[in-house]
Amino acid sequence: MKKNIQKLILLFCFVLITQVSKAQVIQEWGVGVGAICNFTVPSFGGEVRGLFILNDRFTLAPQLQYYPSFNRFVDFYAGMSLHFNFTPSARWGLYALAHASYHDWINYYDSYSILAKQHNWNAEPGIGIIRNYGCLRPYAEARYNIKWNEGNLRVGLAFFFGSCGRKHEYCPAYTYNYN
Amino acid sequence: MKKFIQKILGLVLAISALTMVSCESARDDEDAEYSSMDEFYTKHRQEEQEFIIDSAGTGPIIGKQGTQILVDTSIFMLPGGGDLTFPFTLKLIELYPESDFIEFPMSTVSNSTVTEAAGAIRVRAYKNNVELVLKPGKVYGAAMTNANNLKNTMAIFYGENKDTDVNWTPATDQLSTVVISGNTYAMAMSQMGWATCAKTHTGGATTIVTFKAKGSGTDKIDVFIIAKDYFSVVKVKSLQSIQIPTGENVTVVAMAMDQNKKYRLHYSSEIITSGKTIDLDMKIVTEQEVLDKLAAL
Repeated sequence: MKKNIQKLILLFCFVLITQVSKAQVIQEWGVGVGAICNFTVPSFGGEVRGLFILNDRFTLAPQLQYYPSFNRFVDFYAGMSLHFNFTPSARWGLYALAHASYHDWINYYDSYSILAKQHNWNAEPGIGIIRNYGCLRPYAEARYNIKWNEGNLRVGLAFFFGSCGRKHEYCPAYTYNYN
Repeated sequence: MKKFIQKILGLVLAISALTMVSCESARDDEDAEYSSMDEFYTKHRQEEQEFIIDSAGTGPIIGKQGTQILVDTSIFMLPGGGDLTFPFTLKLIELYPESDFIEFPMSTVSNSTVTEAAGAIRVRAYKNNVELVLKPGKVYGAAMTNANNLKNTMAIFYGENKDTDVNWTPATDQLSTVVISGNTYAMAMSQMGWATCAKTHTGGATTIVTFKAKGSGTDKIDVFIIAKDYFSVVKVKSLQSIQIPTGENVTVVAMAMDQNKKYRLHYSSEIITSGKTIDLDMKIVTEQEVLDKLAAL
């Protein structure tokens, strides 16, 4: 399992570097805040993220997540997601994501688990949806943490700088479906 | 287009299903497998001090924790009965604070009965690696200068001839005596090896305390019950104590290692009540945290 996660993270880094190097400029960027529900544990947390749209398809999303002490597991994550947008021309972008993160399991010492340790590396695949235009862009994501076998859902709102009032150029094919 | 939408929906459903079926976190695994603390004890127990006695001196031999030993060649003989000549070696182990007992590990229990003790010492003498014995009718002298619980009713108890976790038996001979002299117990001992100055703890009702822990190999967890109001260390065997006086204020320390070589420690204050059961909360700690907790007893 540990080697598989390491391979996934390496693959993730490779794709990330490839995409970032291809991107000439960051087309749009924003910051978002969100709420997270880890329904496997269950626990509740919050996140802040940056959103850097590299091109029509790829977005880079560095993010910090924290699950406060009222939860059974107190966690801090610092990681990076790479989004692939399936519907860049539609009103709502449906994307697949790969996420790699450092995980500080803050209260690991409270656990009986033999896997418990403070410093961890995690990989998560997932899917999400985000509004493709405007300065206020709601988003929602479902992700699966491979290492801990935990699923989580998150919803949030991102603010994109310099995107207020900009109209989205709809692709006629999607316009039919979404308008 | 319709097919594309169907594919997307299929992907959404697949990942949603994956996240939904992850109904048990890997972090919920409670299958800790405990192993003994033998390595910890070997590393941290009080060392056996060695003194080479090559001539008749004037003063006592003094251990690191202040124990005074008075011996000479006239009280020892070789196992076959031969006389002893200089030089010979005296070995001494001193256990005074509770942490010394736990780190050995050792208890103060006498024949499954709680005692109030003053510490413990192990005194052995050797000539050319042959263990010496006391001559019949002879005693050696010892003074426990940092003793706990200076009480007039104390008596000599001897321990089994084994390295750890000995049972204490009250001396039955007339030669073994203890008197309080100043702030020390001055003892005359007719037997080499483990010795303590102690008394059986008397009180009211007693009860057996049962311990429970999650995981496997829980019989490898070493549990100690330490009295707060007098000096007593009870080492629990198989998660079930001997009869403990009810109403006592005690500290419970439980320690083990898991299969990842992480230290696990339970540490709590308890009041003993009839039929008490204590759930052990075996948290992961560092080696230093174990030592700090024991030192704070």
